[in-house]
Amino acid sequence: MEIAIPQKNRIWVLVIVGFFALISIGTYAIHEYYIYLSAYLWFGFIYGMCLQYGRFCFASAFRDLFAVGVPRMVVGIMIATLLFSITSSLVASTGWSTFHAAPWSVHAIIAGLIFGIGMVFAGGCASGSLYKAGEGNGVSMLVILSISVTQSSFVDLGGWFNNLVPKSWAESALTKSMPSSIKVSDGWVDQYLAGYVWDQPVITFAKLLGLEDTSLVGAFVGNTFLGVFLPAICLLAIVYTLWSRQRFTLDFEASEGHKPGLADHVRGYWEMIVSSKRTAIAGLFLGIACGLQMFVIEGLRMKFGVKNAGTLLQRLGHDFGISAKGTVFDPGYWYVTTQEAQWVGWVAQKLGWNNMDNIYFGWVNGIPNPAINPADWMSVALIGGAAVMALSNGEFKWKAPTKELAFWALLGGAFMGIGSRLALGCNVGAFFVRTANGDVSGWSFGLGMVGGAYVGVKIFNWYTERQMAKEMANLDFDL
Amino acid sequence: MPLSFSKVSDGHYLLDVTGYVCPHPQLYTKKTLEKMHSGDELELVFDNPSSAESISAMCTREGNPILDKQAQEGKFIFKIKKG
Amino acid sequence: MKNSLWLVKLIAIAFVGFMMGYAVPPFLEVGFGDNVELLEEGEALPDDIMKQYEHLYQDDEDD
Repeated sequence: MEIAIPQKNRIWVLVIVGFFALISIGTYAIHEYYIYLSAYLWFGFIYGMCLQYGRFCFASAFRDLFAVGVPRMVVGIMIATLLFSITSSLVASTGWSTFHAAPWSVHAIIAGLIFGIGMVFAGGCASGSLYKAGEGNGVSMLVILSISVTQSSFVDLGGWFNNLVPKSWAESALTKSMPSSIKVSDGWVDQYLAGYVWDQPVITFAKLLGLEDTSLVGAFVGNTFLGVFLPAICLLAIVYTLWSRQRFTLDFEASEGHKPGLADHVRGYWEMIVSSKRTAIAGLFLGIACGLQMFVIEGLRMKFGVKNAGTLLQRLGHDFGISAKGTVFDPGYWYVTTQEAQWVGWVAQKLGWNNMDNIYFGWVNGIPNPAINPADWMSVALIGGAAVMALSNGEFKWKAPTKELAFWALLGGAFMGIGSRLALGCNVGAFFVRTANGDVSGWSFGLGMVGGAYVGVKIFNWYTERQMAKEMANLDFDL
Repeated sequence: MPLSFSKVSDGHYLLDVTGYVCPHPQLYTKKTLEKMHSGDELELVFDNPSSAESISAMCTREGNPILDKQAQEGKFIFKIKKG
Repeated sequence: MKNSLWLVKLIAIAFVGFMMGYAVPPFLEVGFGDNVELLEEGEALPDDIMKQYEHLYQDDEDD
């Protein structure tokens, strides 16, 4: 494809990279601890480059499969998940993984369903919208805003919404010991978390086999082989059978003159996997980078003798917005949604909204100033990395949202905001990272998300059909 | 800019989905191609980079060859022949 | 244009490499195994704070 790249793009690339480099070097000169934030920054930057290069959109995996029959992203995600799983199992077997499995129950499936519908409406999920914002896409920026505001408001819903809390949740929530600043009995999400989610079991594939996540065998045989490799092979086999086999058979018969045998189908299966080079390469690098980030963050924690960035921020004198137990959101791996809730939470707090009395902000994640929030550094750099890649390939373009798309963006973003708070993560935090680490709840979220994508596509098919009919009615299109 | 579909000449159509994000461009392309006759040509204009990869894969899968791909300043123009 | 993309990659790798320089030695110190008690490097935290963190991870409400 012939691509003309304007000279000004090169300048912008250097400006963006120079800005991040300056931040890293400058803050490091102030104090060594800032390297912890820079670690988030540079991994975010790499994620952004990989995502944009591979058009690595988690949302499109099942959406494009159902909507237009394209399996490339399912393949890409499975490659990335497998590689990430290998690197994270290596880290886990040292006993120093930053990953902690999530409680498992049907809530993950329901949350995935809501999230899945939202990502189809919005035209991209939480991570996809970040990289598309880096391509200059105004719709994606609206999606990010909508996810952020919805999450931040949703976690603090109290008052009338307390009536919707089942009695058993409310009772169970009260038994959890919390400081007096946290009002567990006021807030739907608080009681959902403390009264329901925390009571659910934490299951990993290693534990299902009776092994430890931190043992070499448990991590590799349980979590990587049984938890990722086998399901991925099966999932791709289903995708091949339903979406790719027919085309392969037609092409094969045309060139060879007979029906393909099992061995030929295995070849067709492999061809499907390598058919989109860009996606596969992006998946490869993403998987490796995700594992490296876990390694680097954990190494830095050991080096500085901390378990959470909240301690570092306090030592640096930034004590605003630290949670009641001294922590801030510091996953230690790739995560997207919580930092989006946090920056709006911070703004809301500054505008006079007391949101530090809920569990989500007040007890766990805090609302540090976005300028020194490690996870926000990761997201901003992700957008920057995507912009650098888009500019370098001549794909950057400012695009203002139309009214029609703005509507879908806000609606989809709101669905995703609610879905991600119920699941405690998005396609990245609740699906990709968990699945790669052998957490059963990752696949549960995925199952719901696939169902949501299917429902979303059905709705969109109906909607686009209507738009097309309108457009073609004006035209003498006799088909 | 709203969706625009027009007939350039006999058997030659233009679909402009500039400004649309995923999954609109790929959905509209698929639906348009389904309505066209075998041998017809479609000139597709869009500016959502993520759709480029999906549209290419979709056309290969459905046996609609892409005759020409052009890209400049974030805008893509594909010429697709209905197989 | 391709040249500046290589430069970008090089810069990103340089920063990550520098951080690896920070991260690898503590890992070597504690060894690749479950030697949690060996971590005495840096400014160690008081026990009660460590306990609170354990609680955080048991709940694992968010991540």
